[in-house]
Amino acid sequence: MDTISAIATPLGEGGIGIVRISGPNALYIADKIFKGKVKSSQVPSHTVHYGKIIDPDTKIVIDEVLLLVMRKPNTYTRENMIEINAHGGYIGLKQILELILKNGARLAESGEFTKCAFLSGRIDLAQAEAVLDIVQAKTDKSLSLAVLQLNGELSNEIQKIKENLIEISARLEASIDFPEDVEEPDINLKEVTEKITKLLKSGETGKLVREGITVAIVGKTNVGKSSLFNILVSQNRAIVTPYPGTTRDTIESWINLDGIPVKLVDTAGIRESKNPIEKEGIQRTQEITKEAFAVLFVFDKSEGIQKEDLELLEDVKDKLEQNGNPDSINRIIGILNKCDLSCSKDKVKLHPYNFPLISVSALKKINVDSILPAISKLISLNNVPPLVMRIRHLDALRRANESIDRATSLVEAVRKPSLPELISYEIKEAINALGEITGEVTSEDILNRIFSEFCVGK
Amino acid sequence: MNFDCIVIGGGHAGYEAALASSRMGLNTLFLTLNLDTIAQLSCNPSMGGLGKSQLIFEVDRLGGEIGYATDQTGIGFKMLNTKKGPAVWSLRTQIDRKRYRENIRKTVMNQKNLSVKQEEVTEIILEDENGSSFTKTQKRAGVNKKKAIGVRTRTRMDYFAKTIIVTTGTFLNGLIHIGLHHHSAGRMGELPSEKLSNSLQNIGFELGRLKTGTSPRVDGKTIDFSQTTTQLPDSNPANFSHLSKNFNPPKIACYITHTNQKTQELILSNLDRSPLYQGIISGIGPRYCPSIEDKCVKFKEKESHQVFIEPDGLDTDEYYLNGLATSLPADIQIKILHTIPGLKEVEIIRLGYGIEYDFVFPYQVYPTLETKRVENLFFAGQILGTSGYEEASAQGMIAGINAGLKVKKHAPFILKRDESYIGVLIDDLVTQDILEPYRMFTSRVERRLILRQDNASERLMKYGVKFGLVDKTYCEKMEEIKDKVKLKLKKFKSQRVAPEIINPILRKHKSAPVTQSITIFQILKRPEMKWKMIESIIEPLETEVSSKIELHAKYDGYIKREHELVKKVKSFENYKIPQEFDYLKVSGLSSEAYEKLSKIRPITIGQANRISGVRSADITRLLVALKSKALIN
Repeated sequence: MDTISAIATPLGEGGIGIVRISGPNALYIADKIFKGKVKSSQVPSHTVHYGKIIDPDTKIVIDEVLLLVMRKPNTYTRENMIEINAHGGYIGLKQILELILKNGARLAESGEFTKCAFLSGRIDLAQAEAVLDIVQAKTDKSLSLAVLQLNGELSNEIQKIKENLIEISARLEASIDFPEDVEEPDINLKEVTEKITKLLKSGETGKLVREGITVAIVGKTNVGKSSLFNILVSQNRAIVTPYPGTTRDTIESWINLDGIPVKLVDTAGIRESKNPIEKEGIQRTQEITKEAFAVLFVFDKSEGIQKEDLELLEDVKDKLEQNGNPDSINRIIGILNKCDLSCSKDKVKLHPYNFPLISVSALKKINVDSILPAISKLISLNNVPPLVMRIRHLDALRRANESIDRATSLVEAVRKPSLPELISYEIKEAINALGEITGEVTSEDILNRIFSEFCVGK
Repeated sequence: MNFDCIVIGGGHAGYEAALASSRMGLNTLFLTLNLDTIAQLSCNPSMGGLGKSQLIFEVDRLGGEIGYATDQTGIGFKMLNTKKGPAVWSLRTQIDRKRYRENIRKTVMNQKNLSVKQEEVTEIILEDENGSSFTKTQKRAGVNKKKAIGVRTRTRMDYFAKTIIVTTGTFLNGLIHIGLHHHSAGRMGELPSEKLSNSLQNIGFELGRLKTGTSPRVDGKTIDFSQTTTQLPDSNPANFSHLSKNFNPPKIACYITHTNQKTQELILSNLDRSPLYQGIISGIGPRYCPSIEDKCVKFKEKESHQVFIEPDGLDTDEYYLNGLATSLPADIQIKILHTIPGLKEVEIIRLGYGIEYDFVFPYQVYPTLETKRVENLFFAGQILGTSGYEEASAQGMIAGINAGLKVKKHAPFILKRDESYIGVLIDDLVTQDILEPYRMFTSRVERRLILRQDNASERLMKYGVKFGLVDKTYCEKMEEIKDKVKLKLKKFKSQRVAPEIINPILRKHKSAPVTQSITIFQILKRPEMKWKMIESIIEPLETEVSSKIELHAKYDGYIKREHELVKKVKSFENYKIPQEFDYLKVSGLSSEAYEKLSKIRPITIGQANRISGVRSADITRLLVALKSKALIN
């Protein structure tokens, strides 16, 4: 078992920074580099000590610090832990870390403290992953989401479904093992199905909050897409880019929308073209549209809505539908740009489409403030409260859902289940799948339920 | 006197162990407190039922006695759960108590290699420990094993043997309660075994105390059967044993009546005389077999409880009142009965009672049922905290076989959870905390759909043949049927029936009619459709074949899924942990996991994983430690 160490606070100029050491040699290493009134290996657990970090070789004082000593097993990783509260600033913290590494620790891999905590059974997997999400949280809202999950919000929700299933399983099992005491129950799985479906749906939002969404600005050439893009980006301070390698460039940028990271993408104007470069741009536009969560469709209000606009609109709808949004119209916001110019009479009406229309002028900055709230509204319209976050959770939920579906069709096959052992089989599978998220259920748990609810046995 | 094997105790674990070991060629000594009560059914006169019938089928296919004796002396066979699928069908029968005893006694007396003596064992004799030194690691791992070499009796006789199987049931420090009075007894009217318990404790075994209870038995001449409901046995009954031929047992009925509000009031107002509710009984009783006091207290809202009136035998008027287990005093017992329809003027022949007894916590045995502490010493049955004739018999069988294998220096025999109920039973015993007498339920069995009565032969007979306990001609017969089923299945999956032929049948049984022709297999797959209903339109087949075909149709897809799951955990279940493994060397193990693992010493990772308090993270760490150890070696 290695002793590991890392800087625990975000890099940058903070007031204080924390360096953490965990493992069997944590106290020993602290003894070597920390000089205070007492040795850290001799103080009681969970106490704080003032002192200095001194390089034992050069005797150079690196920082004045507070040292927190925590002995196993009551620590986050269940190993001995030292936290050094030092003055912030990357260079100072890095020097302390290097000193620790020189004296016998290994640099912790990303999330390794959490992994240790998980492996030592301090927290369960759902919690461990939420911790990783906190580390990686991109904006405020997703931070609070991660905290919620750590507190067991997701676990609670799944626990409720599991309880419901255990109840059903106990009834079935009681009727199987005590046929002379307990009648075959009427099984209703509707509530469970609804709850799981809801969680599955919220999975999409969970993913969206964590990874961000793409909003594409689409329209035919020269309707003012780029001006609109520039003004939206400049008015909303772009956040740190969530993905390495992408920087704010001329065609895409990240903005913070009520805590959700939004990737705004300016697309090439779409029109028939023989120019290979332009063709390439058009193809890319179509790909982005396909991936987009929402589309800002820009019209030139001064020109009126033309046949070309509508053809393009149909194309966008198709692409959105290919992305699995049957009600693609709910993902489009119409922007009538250049409202400052005099309007020509509409040649074709937008009547059948029924998506929100916002008149703006990108050039004169008229009414552009109402675009982002419209996107927020669109997101909230298309989603339910976010809970499910991890692919692993989604996978387990999906498997549970499949089992429940099969159980439902078995229930429906005959009014009274004549093969309750198969229904029970599916329900136990569903319980096991959910147990992968929040902890297993044993046959003893089912038996306990039977004996507490049924007066069975001769 | 020297033997290969000594079996102590003549209950269901005892006779199976003694018969198995002597049939495997071991010179066996069978010691019992009372030869006239061997194979006694101490509680209700019935065998089988849910979970338990599967055990009987399995013991029978391994070459045990319980199934055949039950078929010989059963007087009312009934298949339970026939409205559900075949995986949960369970056979049960009323037993003629006296005939069962006599039947087993005769078999035991006629058994080659088996000597029977009526003696009370007071002590297990261990090999002299002369200065052998062990390392700390070995000690922690329990390698500093003592060896059992014989037994001492109350009459100061010493018997020596290579293996010793203890099956003392409820007799270890047995204490009977009726009302606030109690007395020492192994069973009503029989002496307890008092000194042996001390001997086991002195050796270092951890003992606990459990409680169970039994119901009053009454004179049938004083029952008004007109006030009860009759429950008839099956008119065309199935049997347990592969040995039974021309099966035609007596068909004696049971009767059902119910307690009422008066019963409840009477019981609740007399709890001050209940040893259970006055804290006199300290042992823990089974929740699945609650006393009538418990039923009335814990389920106050339920005004009526079922009472099964079960015949005790063909030559007696005695009836057992199943459902009325009680340790209330005699005068209250009779008053309780007089509140119940049909029992208003009943006379009690034998009172109900509660009994407390010592048991050995079963984590102290390996899955072979040999103890970890003392080599060559085996435990089986109620002494390991179980309840039930069938559970006892199954353990006796496993202990007997393993004693035989040990003497012959062959590899031990351990059944897996996914191949038998017996495997589940023993695996549960050696890994789980025993908080109440352990009883088998089908819901304990993860792979219930593939571990059925009907395929017990396919699953286990090969072992019975291997150990010389089952004649191989039975195995050949089974293979024949298996082949036939396979052939017919293939046929019925393609053979189609036209709508005009099948629709009238489907309509008659409220099954949706079809528009196109449908295969026989598809028809049988419908939960509501049974073989009997379509018998008229297909070729006649013997029941053994047709029932399997119907089963395969009903469970289509599920059997395959079950086998896939078995395969999935196979490496897990086969991953061995060396018995001398030092859990201190696993870093980061939670203290609870360390404590449990070093106490229970699971033999595989699969078992370790089932121990409560051992988390998946502990398993990960254990695997890492085992892997690095393997690398070093």
